[in-house]
Amino acid sequence: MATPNIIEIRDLQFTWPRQSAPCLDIPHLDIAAGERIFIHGPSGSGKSTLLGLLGGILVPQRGTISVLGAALERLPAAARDRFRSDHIGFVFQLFNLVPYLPVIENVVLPCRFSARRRSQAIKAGVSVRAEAVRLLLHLDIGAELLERPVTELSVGQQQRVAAARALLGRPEVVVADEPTSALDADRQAAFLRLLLQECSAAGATLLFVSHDRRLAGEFTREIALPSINAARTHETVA
Amino acid sequence: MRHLLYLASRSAWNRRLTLSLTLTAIALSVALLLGVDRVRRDARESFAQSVSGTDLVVGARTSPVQLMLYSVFRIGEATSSMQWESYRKLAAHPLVKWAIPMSLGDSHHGYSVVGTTADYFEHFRYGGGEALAFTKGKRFDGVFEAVVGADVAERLGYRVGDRITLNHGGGEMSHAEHGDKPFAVTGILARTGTPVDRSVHVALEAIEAIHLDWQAGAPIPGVSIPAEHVRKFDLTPKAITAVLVGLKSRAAVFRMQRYVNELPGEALVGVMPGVALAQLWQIVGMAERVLLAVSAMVVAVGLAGLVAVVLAGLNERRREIAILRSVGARPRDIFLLLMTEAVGITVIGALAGVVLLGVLTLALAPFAAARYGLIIEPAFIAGGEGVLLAAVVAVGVLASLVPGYRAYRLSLADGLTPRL
Ligand SMILES: Nc1ncnc2c1ncn2[C@@H]1O[C@H](COP(=O)(O)OP(=O)(O)OP(=O)(O)O)[C@@H](O)[C@H]1O
Ligand SMILES: [Mg+2]
Repeated sequence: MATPNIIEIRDLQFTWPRQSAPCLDIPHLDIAAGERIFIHGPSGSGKSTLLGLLGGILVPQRGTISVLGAALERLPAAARDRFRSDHIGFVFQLFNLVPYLPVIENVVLPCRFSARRRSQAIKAGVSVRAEAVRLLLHLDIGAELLERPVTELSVGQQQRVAAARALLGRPEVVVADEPTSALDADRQAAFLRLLLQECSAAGATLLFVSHDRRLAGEFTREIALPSINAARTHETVA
Repeated sequence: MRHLLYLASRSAWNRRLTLSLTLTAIALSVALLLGVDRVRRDARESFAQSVSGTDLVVGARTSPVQLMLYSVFRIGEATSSMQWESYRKLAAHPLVKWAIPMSLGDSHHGYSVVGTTADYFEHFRYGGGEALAFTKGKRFDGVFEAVVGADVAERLGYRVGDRITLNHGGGEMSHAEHGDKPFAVTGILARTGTPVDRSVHVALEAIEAIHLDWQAGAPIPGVSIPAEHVRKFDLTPKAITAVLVGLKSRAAVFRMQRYVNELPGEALVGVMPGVALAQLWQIVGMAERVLLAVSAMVVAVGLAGLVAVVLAGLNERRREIAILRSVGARPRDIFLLLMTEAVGITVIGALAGVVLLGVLTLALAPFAAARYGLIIEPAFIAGGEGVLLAAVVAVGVLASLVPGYRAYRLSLADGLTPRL
């Protein structure tokens, strides 16, 4: 039996290059499979940095961060990149899409890098494309938009396309870094509802970062980053 | 790798305007570089093909290169002439197998007129030792008869029996005409790929005849000798321009050369064609190297432009790179993505340059042949051009390392959140 925790952090310390003080110092953090975590904290408190560590883009100087039982800091760089594309889907605040690819190509992008995501998408649908179209439809992106350049989409549509991309091929973890902050209140709620719905349909664990604590009610757990981070952050509360 | 190629091509297509401009610059510079090299090689080739089997070219004392240029290649004009008497001595020399006298200086629509004897058709050799052949008609026999080269016949549309008039002096602009003494075309020579194609051949006596009523390069005022009366005059030339000499034995060439140089009565020079050509290439070689260096520099400018364009675009693409990283691209993939783009443009640009040059040479070859006697091979890739092309691509690959490496560094530093 694998560990019940999908993410385990122990004694993690991360310092950005050319900085004296660590940005993150997290003695202990466990996240169980299927949880929906709401992470908040002031600007500059290290939320995005934590997501970078989870994605294996950044490597802690000390401690361990394991995802799905794999200690990321011990994997070689290429294996970490591979791990990220196989198991983690990302949604960012803005400009999530590759500007020169049409909607559908943006969504299938992870399947170009990850054979695992590709085969899971094919298993879920009939083809990668069919599964991508299905997800897009669920996220209210109609078939008429598939071949459109992404630059012609509204911001809300862009974020939903990004969510479809993060979910395609059923990654175990979906990481969203302030995906709603560019949207107005109505659209925020609608987007969040769709994202949560699709994450549970896909059985993905969701890590959702936001400044806006009004959204926290929809989640199973709320984490204030400063409360688990022993490092002193310099910036003032936004 | 396939997905990277796909991404690189989509991304490049998205920036096709800027990239196609740099591609054009590279294509033009490659066409220039290869073109300079091709013209250089083809020029050497056609010069080397122009004369064969001639052991010595004899003329009034001047530089060997100059003598070769005007007597064999019909470039420039003879500055002085040699006496007919000297030709007689040469032709009678026991070491000499044949001697072709040539009298130059007149022209016909820009083509040079060669006054010579039947020996020309008998003994002149070109290329690998080929003799002259007639496609139509035969050698000249009478005074006012002419044999034209293949280009002359083709460009001016001459047929056997046509009447032509010669001009005094060289060049197309020459106005003084020998209009009172027309010539009949008796023969058309087969194409040789040498200056012979661009020459009109007449008898030495004809040259004398058309100048009977001329003096110091102009018609004598009030004197006009009609064509039917010229036979009353002695048409033996007093002076000619040069003599092509074939020896019974090549080994005697130095002895013969000394004999020519020491011939009493006038200052002559005997030149071995191979030696003169070598001297010519030595003189021209410097200019060739400068031209090649300049074209190479133009290629370097093109490639530098490419690197600049790709680097300039990189900053706007940091977001895109972060997205690709988030879906699993390794820094190595980002490096390859940028490399692919720059290398791809270099390769496509180089190939476009080759095609451009091929089309240009096809289009300009007839002109170059007619105008400059330069036979340009209508090949797409010839001789050492493959090496030059490979060098261009190799430098392009090296130059592409710059944006590739920069993108690699950026992707490491930026991670998922580019700092702009
Ligand atoms: N690439 C980087 N290089 C150096 N320092 C960085 C880098 N990225 C972030 N930092 C520093 O790390 C700290 C945390 O930044 P981070 O982006 O994780 O904050 P955040 O909580 O996501 O803030 P926000 O809510 O504004 O997005 C900041 O002090 C920032 O200056
Ligand atoms: Mg952030």
